[in-house]
Formats: sequence, C-alpha cells, structure tokens
Amino acid sequence: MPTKLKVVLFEDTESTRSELVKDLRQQLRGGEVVPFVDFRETESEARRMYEDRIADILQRPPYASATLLLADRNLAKSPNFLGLSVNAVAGAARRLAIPICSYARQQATDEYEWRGRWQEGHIVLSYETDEEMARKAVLAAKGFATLTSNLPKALRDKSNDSPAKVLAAVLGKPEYADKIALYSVGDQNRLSAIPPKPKEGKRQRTKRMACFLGYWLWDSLLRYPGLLVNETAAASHLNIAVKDFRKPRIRAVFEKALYRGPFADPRNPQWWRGILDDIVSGKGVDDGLALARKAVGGKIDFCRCSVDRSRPAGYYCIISKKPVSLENSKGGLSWLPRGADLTRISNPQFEEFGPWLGT
Amino acid sequence: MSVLTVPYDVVSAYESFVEEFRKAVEGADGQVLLAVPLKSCFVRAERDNVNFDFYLYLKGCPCSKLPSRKRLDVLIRAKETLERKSWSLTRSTVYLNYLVLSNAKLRAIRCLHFDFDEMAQSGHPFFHVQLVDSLIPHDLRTFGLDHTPRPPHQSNHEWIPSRIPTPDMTLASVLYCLAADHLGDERFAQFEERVRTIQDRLPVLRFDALKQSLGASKHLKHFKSSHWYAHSRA
Repeated sequence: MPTKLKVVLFEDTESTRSELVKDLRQQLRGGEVVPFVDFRETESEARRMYEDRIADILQRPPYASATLLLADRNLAKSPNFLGLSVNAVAGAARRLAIPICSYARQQATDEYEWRGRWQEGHIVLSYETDEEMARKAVLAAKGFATLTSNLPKALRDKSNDSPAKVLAAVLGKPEYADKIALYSVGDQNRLSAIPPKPKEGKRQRTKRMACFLGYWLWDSLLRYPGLLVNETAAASHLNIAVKDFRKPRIRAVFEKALYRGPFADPRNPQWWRGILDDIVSGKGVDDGLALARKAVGGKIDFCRCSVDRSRPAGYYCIISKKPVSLENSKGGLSWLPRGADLTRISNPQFEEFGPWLGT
Repeated sequence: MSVLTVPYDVVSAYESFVEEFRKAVEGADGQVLLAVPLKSCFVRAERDNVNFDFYLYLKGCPCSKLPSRKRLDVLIRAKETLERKSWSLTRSTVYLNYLVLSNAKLRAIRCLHFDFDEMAQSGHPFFHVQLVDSLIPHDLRTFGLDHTPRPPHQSNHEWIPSRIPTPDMTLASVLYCLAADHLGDERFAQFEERVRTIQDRLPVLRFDALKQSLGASKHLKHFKSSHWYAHSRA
C-alpha cells in the first residue's frame, strides 16, 4: 500500500466539513484530508458543466492524486457550484478513475443495507455517527489503495484473463476464481466501467480496474454471504449460536479463516467460507458446532433458525440479518448474485415485501 | 439425517460444473433450476460415508425432434455416496425423467437410471443404464413449477432387467452427455473446454477390476462388454 493516502472531501456545510476533516485526519493518521473548497477558475472555465469543471480541478493541486473522494449526496449549497449533487462528482470520479464514497447525514433505516443503492456504481456509506462514517471512509481508501498497489502483479500474469481471476489473484485466493465469477453473473454494472475511447494509458487502466474491482468487492462479495461470510452468516453456516460464536475461545478455532484483505473491518469481521469448511471437514466432524464443542467444551448452542427456533439455521436472511433455515426461506432469487448461495430471504420477510422481491 | 460440512474442494467442484452446464444451457435458451443449494445436499450416511442427494431440472432442453409447440424438460436426481476418508465415490445412481410439455400437460416419455456400486453385484455390469417406468418422486414446486408429471404412455416393463454397460455416468457425466446430445456442436465444444479442468476436481470412483481387465494380457485387445463384468471374476 502507498504510504500516503489522500481523501478529498465534498461537504457544503462548513461546520460539518470541519468536524469531518477532524475525524478523517484522526482515522488516517498521517494521510491527507483535503476539503474541496479552494480553487481558481477562469470565467470561461466556470461556465462549463459541473462534471467537467470538477474533473479538471481534481487534477490540480492540492487535489491531484486523490486516493478517494468522499462526498455528501446533497451539495446544493456549494459556493460556485449551486445545486450540485453527488452525481456530478461521481461522474468526474468515474472519468478520472478515482474511487468515490457518498453519504447522507441522516440515520440510515434498517432496510438500508439490503436495498441500498448498489446500482449507483459507487459506494454509498450508511450513516451512524461522523466518527464511524470517517472510519469506514478511511477503510475504503486503504482498501482501494491496496487494490491499486497489488493489481499490476496480478495483471502481468496472462492467465488472469477475467475480472474474477484478477480479483482472486489480488486477494491471494486463485482457487476461488470460479466462485468469484459467480458474483458477476447478470451484473450489468461492469459495462459502465469499460474505459471510453481513446485508449487509456496503462496506469489509468490499472486505476480504473482497481475502482471496478473495489466496488464489486465492497458491494457484492462482502455484502452477500457465499464466498465470504459475516459474523451471523458464519455462525449460521457453522451451526453455532451467534452469541457463542462471538466468544474469543470459539473464534480462535476459526482464526485461520478470518478475512484480512482489502476493506477488512475489525468491527465487522468476515471469514472465508471455504476455509471454514476445510477447518471443519479436516477434523472429521459434521459441522462447526461439533468442532467447537470438541475444541473448547462447555455449553455451546446450535444456531437456531430465526423463524422456527427448533430447527438449525444454516443460511442468512439478507433482510432481517438473522440466521434462517432452508425450509423457512427463499433463495436463488434472480437479483441475488449466484455465488451468494448462503444468502436467502426468510419467508416472513418475503411475504412482507411480496412482489418487489420477485423470483 | 443431518447436513454436514464437506471440504470446500468437493462442493466447489460440483458447483463449478453445474454452473458451466447452466451457462451452456442458458446459451441455448434453456434454464437450469435447482431445488436446493448444493451445501444442503450432503448428509451424513452410515459407516462414515456421506450421501449426496441432488435434484436438477433442465427446462426447455433443445430438441430438434420436437415441434415448437412442445417443450422437452429433463428432471435429474443424483444419489451418490462418498467415502469420507478419501472423498471418493462408492455408489452413484443418477435418475433421469425425460418430460414433454404439450398443451399445458407434462408427461414423461422416458425414465431411466445410471447405476454404479463399488461393491458391484455379480451379473450386473460395473456401470450400467436401465430403462424403467418410475417417475422421480419429487414435487416440482421446489423448482417453482406448477406441473405434476404423468407417467409415460409406453411402459418399459420388459426392459427393466436389461442392464446396458456404460462408462462412468455419475452426475457430471450425465450433464456432459446432455450437453453433447442437445446443445449443438459449437456450444458443446465451449462447454467441453470449460469443464476439462473441473472434471479432474470432482470425486472419482474406483474401477480397479475394470481397469485391470482392460489393461490385461496381450490376448485381450478389445473394449467389449466383458470388461464390465470383470469384478465378478476378481
């Protein structure tokens, strides 16, 4: 990873801007935070479309070589850019192959995570507190920087002839390329990532590929359990009650499967599902519960289905964020990535959201 | 019987193969439907074995012999047993029902199964196919389908004792042959290329007696069905 990260902040409210700059600087520790406020333009430059102007300004000091743009979704009060929205900033970011995270400083609803804005072509951060949002933004910046730095080696290997193989190589898991490829089935977003003509230079192409892979990793592979599993999905898959899976001694049994790649979040850890499977099957036991009981002892409960608590779960409801059994859920929906085989929707949630969820 | 965790290599090999089959079928405007995710198809069996019980529905299988107002579907059930120590196949039965949808009615036109048991029976070819009458007992609503198949008009009753020797016709082989039979040369060639390395990752079955018979003395320079009964002589 490069030593110095730079986050350019688009925030039109001055008080919010200074708070966020402070939080970001605290998280970045040595990196640079540059609020998008000071720039000079000629009169003719200032008469152009917002996206063009922003793209030009971002290529000049002090904004040049940004690792990440962080933008409020509503920038209407921006001086010199009245009525600005994140779309123009995102357009400039796309043109320059700079990753962008946007945010809205209202508390996200519970439904945000599953229905959230994954079609927008950039990362939309949910908001809890300024500090937490800054932490996530810096996580994103570090992740994209790691991807950009590790990509050239993966691209030099001619056998990495698909985005899935490239990402698998960057993550150090070439054996999971097939599974990663299943996260791209039906995904039309990738088309917009193809660079426009004329052909870009190698460096710019690498940056663009890093953006594309980063968004894909953040918004798909790390969101929908299948290849990687969050805490609840891991517990469900292993058949260990979530409360027990949180215990350090039980966590230690599965330490080897912990995900440490780009965007790895110590507050929201994820595990490689394949390594979990191998840890369990390698010990000749039926499931993670049997392994945990053997390795740690004590009272460890099985993971109960959130719909029918007499049944073991095994899967994860993307809406309720709870463990769910096969019998009490629906899966294989056309809008779920095909690789996300552990992701389902519990029957009560499916009935509530009815026709919108489709088949 | 409880679902159990198998090595990721095993699950992912099946998953990759089925997905390549699905891609090939979708390229020919068909659909591949699964009743249950692969992860839930592996259950504990007796004597430290694992049973793999898997259902797949091929909807809209291309068939040049059928008029366009009719549709050919294929329902497949694979029942395989793996030895947990080596993750090799010790038993496999793959059932197929060829179904035709016509005037909103679904009827079986042919039912068969491919059979293999490591502890092969005397008088049975090591791997064989049998034509049968029985429909696969499975509710098609698990695939999101409304039809209930009717049994075939024409019975295979007299064929049931006939066991025709076949090569390894475990699940992957069956899907391979379906691709060859129905998807056209070009699409099959692409499928063939893509599954070449995946086939090597799938659980294998031991065929020692047959292998020895095929490689046996210089007098035996043929590929005749007698090899498929070599286990009886072992």
